[in-house]
Amino acid sequence: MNTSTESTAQIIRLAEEEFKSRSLWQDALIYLWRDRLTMLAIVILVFLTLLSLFGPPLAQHFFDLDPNRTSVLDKYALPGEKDYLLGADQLGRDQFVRLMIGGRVSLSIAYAASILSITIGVALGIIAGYYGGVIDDLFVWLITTLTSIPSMFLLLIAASIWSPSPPVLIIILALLSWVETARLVRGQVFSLRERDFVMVAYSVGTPPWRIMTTHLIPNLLPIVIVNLAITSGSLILAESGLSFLGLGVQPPTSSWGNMLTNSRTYFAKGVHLVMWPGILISLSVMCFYLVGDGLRDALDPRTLRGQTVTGSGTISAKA
Amino acid sequence: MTAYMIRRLVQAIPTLFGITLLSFLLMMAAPGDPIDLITFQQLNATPADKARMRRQLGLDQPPLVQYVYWLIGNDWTTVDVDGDGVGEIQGTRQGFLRGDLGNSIMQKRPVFDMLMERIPATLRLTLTALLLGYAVGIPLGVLAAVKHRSWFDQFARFFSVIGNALPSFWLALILIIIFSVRLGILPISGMRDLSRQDTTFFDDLPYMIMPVIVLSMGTIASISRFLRTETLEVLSQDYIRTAYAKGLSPHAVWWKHALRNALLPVATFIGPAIGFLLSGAVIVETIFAWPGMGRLVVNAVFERDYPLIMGSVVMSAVLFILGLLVSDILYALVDPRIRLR
Repeated sequence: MNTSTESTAQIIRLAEEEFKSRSLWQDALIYLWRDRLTMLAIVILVFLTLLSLFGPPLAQHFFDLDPNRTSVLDKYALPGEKDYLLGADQLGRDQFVRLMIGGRVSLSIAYAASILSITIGVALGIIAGYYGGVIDDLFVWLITTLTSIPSMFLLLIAASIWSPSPPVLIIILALLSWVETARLVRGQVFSLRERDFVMVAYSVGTPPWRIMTTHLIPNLLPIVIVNLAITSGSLILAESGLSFLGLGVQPPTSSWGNMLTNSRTYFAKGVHLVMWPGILISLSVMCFYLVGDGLRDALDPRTLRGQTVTGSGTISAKA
Repeated sequence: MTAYMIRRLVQAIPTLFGITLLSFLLMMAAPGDPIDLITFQQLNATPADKARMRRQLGLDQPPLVQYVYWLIGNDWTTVDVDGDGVGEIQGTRQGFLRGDLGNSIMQKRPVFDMLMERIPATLRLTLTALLLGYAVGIPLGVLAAVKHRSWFDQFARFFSVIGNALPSFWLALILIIIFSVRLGILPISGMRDLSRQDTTFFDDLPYMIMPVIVLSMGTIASISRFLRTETLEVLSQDYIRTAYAKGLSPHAVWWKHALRNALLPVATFIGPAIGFLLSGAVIVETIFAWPGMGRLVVNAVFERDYPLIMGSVVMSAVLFILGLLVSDILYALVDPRIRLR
């Protein structure tokens, strides 16, 4: 009898040792660290961001490369020719430096717009999910309306009304992309609202804003982080599409999208001018999507218990 | 079933109302005076003419009245043209609900007619792309799930990421460089050979190849990914194990038992896919000079032709809502459980 309780206690101790409580975040970090593809995507994104942040001043300082210096003689120089690492464009400007500058514009628009978009989405999603009732009905009506207009048409309307400069673009893109996040947040808040810790907080008279900030938001962080990555990716695509049409970032400011605007007229002379902006757009969008997927798997408790997670699409069908 | 369809139709009404409200608000937010835009080419327009035109178009009315006129027209009331407080002439506007979207500023033609000329070309492009998306996406997704963790699965997963990440305009440029410029086997742009009158469907086919491939890329990627998840889930269910246990061959299990259930939710995908395709068509039509609604709206944006912009936005939303309705009804047809919800 005695020995059996002792061994039971030992087993419990061993079990506790084995399953020493790691938080969701520690688990997620460990999972993420082992996910090579996601780590690679993170490394590429960090590299691209740092390169476009610090690349142009460094290039100017050390190699005397000016992004706006034109040279008639060097028009359409091929990559590697005349010291142009990635060639020169239709005005003889160094493409490598212009790509870094363009990346600065494209990436900062994507980062800023996705942060703003997630903020709007979380705020509206929490309010709709927490209060329910009429507020929620209004919210559902608003998102159904917004999602019933093909997104490109909404972007075009907005770009035609407010003349697009980078800050305006950030706001337009954010205002039109928060819906998916808000929908997810609202669903999550619906289920969190019924949980004991929220009930208790409510019953002791905690004011709603405090329930939202201390009890709801921490539990929404997984959704927020995953959507931050995926929204950044899709906003790079949206911005580059608009800029390509000539309705986004306006020249002389370069972005990856508008570097391709006139490419139809000169691709016969310089295919490299068509290749590189597109490669950088695709690469960064792909990395954002991969990071989003990886984070989703890492932050989903089901994955950590060893179940097969197949991952749902970035674009999920409406049920 | 009829009850379900009626319920779905009724549910679409508030959404449609929201769309008209949203586009009207955006139209009000547009900078500049519409009268200045309309009289842009008429240099001899005096301020008195402009004031008269403003009253005639109802632009002197408060926003709510303007919205009502825009929605249901003003032919049931009289318009005060000279500003003395007494209505003189009968209103002529029909309103959006009766298909009057106003006149284009640049072309001075009814927006509705201009859109109706362009929509068939857009539908031809988007519906073909939808078809191709399903025809390629379904086998890709099912095979990836059936051959779970094989090289084919890896390829399908990679494709589903890259298919959504490639900017369509860039893919289009690459295809044009390869197939039109280098190889010279596909026409670079347009919808048909304009130098000939009597072109048949097969003459027009080469013009469709590149736009449709570019446009369907995202749909293929999304559907294959969605279906892979769905099939994997179905394959892990008890009745599949039972089917194996009965001694059925893997092929019979996959294609007869699993596919049927995995395919059901794909029907819901048609609606959202139409939305993505209409969006994508804007860029694809611009690149390939495809004479559809997308190209019309891009030009309208450059010309600040607001009635045309608003008209095409509302029309694209109507097409999208119709797509959603069709896909919901299809889903209810193939899956009777839905009708009871």
